[in-house]
Amino acid sequence: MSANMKVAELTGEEITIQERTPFQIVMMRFRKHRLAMAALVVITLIFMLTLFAPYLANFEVTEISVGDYFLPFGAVDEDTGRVHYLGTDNIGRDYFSRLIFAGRVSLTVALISVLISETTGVIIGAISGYYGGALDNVLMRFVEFMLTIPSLPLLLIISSMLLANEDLIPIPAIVLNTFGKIMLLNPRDTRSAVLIIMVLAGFGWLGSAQLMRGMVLQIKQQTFVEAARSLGASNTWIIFKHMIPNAMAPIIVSASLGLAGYVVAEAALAFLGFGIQDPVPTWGNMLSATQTFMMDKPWLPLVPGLPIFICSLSFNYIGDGLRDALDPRLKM
Amino acid sequence: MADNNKKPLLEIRNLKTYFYTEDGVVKAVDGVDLEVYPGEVLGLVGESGCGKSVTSLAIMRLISKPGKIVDGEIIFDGRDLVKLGEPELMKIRGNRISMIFQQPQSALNPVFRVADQIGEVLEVHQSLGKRAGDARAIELLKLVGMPDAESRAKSFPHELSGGQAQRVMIAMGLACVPDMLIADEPTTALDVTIQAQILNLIRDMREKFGSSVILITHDLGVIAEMAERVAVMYAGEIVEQADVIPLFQKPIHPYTKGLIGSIPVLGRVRDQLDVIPGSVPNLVNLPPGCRFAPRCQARKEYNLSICTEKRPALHDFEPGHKVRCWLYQDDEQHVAPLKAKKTAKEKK
Amino acid sequence: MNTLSQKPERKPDLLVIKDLVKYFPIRGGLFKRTKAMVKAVDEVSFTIREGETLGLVGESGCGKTTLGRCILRLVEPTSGSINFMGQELTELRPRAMKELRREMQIIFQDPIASLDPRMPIGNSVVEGLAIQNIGTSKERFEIAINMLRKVGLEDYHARRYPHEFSGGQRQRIGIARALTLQPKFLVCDEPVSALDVSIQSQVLNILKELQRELGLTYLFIAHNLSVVEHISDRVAVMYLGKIVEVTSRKELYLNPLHPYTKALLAAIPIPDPTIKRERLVLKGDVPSPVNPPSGCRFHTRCPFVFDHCSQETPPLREVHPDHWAACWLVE
Repeated sequence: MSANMKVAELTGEEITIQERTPFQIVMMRFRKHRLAMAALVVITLIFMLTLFAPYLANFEVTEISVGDYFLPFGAVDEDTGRVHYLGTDNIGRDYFSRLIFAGRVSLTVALISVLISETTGVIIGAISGYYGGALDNVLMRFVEFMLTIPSLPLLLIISSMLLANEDLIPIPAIVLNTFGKIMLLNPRDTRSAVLIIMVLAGFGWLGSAQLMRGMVLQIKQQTFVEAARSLGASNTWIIFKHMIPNAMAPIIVSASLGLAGYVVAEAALAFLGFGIQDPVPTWGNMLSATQTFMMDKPWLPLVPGLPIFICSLSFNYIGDGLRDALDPRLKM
Repeated sequence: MADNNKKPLLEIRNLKTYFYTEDGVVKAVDGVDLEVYPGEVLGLVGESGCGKSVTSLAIMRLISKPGKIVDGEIIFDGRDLVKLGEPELMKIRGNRISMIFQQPQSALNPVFRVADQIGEVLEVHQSLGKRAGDARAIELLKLVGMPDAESRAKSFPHELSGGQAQRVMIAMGLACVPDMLIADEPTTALDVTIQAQILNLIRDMREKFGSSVILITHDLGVIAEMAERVAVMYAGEIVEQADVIPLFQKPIHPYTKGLIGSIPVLGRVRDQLDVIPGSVPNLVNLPPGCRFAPRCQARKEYNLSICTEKRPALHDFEPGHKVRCWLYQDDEQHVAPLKAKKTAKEKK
Repeated sequence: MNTLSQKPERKPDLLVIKDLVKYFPIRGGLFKRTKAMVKAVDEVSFTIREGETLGLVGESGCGKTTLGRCILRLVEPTSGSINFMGQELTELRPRAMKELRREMQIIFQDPIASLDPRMPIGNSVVEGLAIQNIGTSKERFEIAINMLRKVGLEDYHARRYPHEFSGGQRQRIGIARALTLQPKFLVCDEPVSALDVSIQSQVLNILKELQRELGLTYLFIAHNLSVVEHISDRVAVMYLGKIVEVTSRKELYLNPLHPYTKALLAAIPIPDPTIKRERLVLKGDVPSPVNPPSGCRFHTRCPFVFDHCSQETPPLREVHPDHWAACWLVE
């Protein structure tokens, strides 16, 4: 009798295990998380609003209706018959149009910052954790040093420096063009948005580098890494085929939590007057411009404040949902 | 040896312990009947997930959420442990029934010295003071053969080797001279030469204190060396129960037979080992009928259909030898193929 | 009978290990200076012949796993020579080593940790081919399915993930992965000790069948002497980084020479309650490999110890034909 036959004989196994890929399992668990699902719906809605801003906005962002200051919600423009859904601001600009275009800028800044900071963090963390030794020491001590510096004052100083001197950091035209198209801004304003992204991402990668390094150190101990080495795998192979896929779960969670942080950070910079400047609307500078009317016309700061709050909350809930869904302790 | 005239010290009746998990109800222990007689060593043997550890935790009433004892009685010295409240249980745990675990190092508290941990048991149950407790702890450590007991009493658990930590656990377990000692895989984490030391120790201690021992293990070799009576567990139920010699010499349940045939025995080299095909069933989705039926070769051999339809009961095959298998048990529509032969022989 | 036929037929050597040493430094303090050395493997020499199974048995911390890893250069040996099929492994450059990895593979103890949870097992099984750049991805998938069949799994399993398999099935996947590169030599590092009793025999039988079919050579590492005896042709016994006895399995069981081997044999519980054996129970624990005892490393626990044992290390000598032992008592 051949080995094959014998072996086949002993596997009259009843297979009762359901056939699902890890991705399907994650989706199934995520769907059970009601708050996260609700947050996902809300975020999708906000994204749609900002994405279709050029079609939904019935006024130009910088269009000033002279004399129509502080118009209430739903006021009608007498000359053209267009509706100010959310009224106008203190100098007569349509609040709704500004709000959705502002969302476009704010969310783009947050998304791109997350993308850059997480990628950088993942790569640096992976290298640091995988190779270890002196390199790891230098990189991690640097990260720790950076993390001890309170970031907001530093962000303020750096952004004011960069924004004041246009030539300090030259930005390639292609970058400016692409981002300009996404955010629908002129090159000058795009430049400040890109600088804000660089500043935010420049500080943002530190945490994810630490996270990734920790994950890599943990995965490095697993036997499957040794198995790959015994098959002749190179370091690059191991990092890209085994380390990064296995470390993705917490990185995705930290990215979604990071989004919340960046929306707020961008708003904070703008609020303090160091971000993207009026007349380009962002949620932060709209808030800052109208804060003086807090007492008598409270809706003016509340209208841009609310999306900051909702986005930050929703990204946090999505992060929570993802963490529960991806948690490897639940038999992944 | 099983003496049926003796009153059992512990009597488990129809014990059911389920775990309510995300995937469904895990029937870890599903209808276990078991007696332990005073002074005997009962071996509880089975593979991982068969419910042997859960049974022991249920005896100690240490099942916590999401687990629950859903049915059954655990009668210890005339009292049903299932119905007792926490204060009464605390008087029994560590005092009249004590337990030693597989991972001795993680069962000891890392921040307390060895003597303090043994002393704690004595303080709780015998209200011994600190000094008397320390003295007794050293005495106990000497008793369990701890080398250099005085200085070891002052060490922390991480300073002990696995074998030494297990000795400390045994010393703690015996501190109050319990009626029953439950040893859950006490030597699985230890090396063979250390295992031999610990098994010897358990044997000596049993003789010295006269406690009953429930020895839980997956190692049939350990069972053969230590136990007087053996219960074989599979998928949450006991499938065979007998004195140790008959169990090894003429096992009757197909699972026990398969298990004994599948392990290599030192000095008896065979070309091929017996194989039990497949793997242990998922305890959430248990097969209807006999739980071993999907892997059972004898069922195919005798072409029995009842096995996949109706659950067999644990019944006396011979006095003192119980089995849960349709090969030996009749039913309304079913004539047991092997039992019939035996009765015919007896008639002659 | 002439003397020639009395000698067992001796196959050519596949792997010759000479004076292999592996010390792990223990670093500490502010500047990570080496404080001490863990002498995991200390001047070990042995030979594995083509087509045989050499069992390597010893207690935890005796260095048997490190030894297996050293042979595959998953751990770089400190010194010594590993000669595999006429090539000196310790001198090979990375590129040549990668080539040679096709010939020597390993099966791991922990079937859960040894498979990447994020990789479908079909990909895991042929990862070696992908790494070595053999075949197209479609061809590799075919090979994966063939290998899975060979170890008793089904075609559709290839697309599934490790969490969907039981321990025994995962170990079979690990075997399939090791065999896709068609190696000559396989290190089996405790391949059944994490498995349930009824599953162990499935895996042991598969290993034996595959050896017969593919002419494989095994180094079978385990702590369980019964399992080692079952599968091996010859057995090496290791204690604290040293090999203390090497001989055929029959000779080892019938005529053990080293006191440690004797104690090990006596300590193994036999699943037969009618056998009552004389117990030779060793006292004490295995000493730390950081500071191993002087002379014979077993002298602290040896029941037959005498003065000379602590002064000089006994060499591993051929006491009888093909029976090597390292003990001063054995002449």
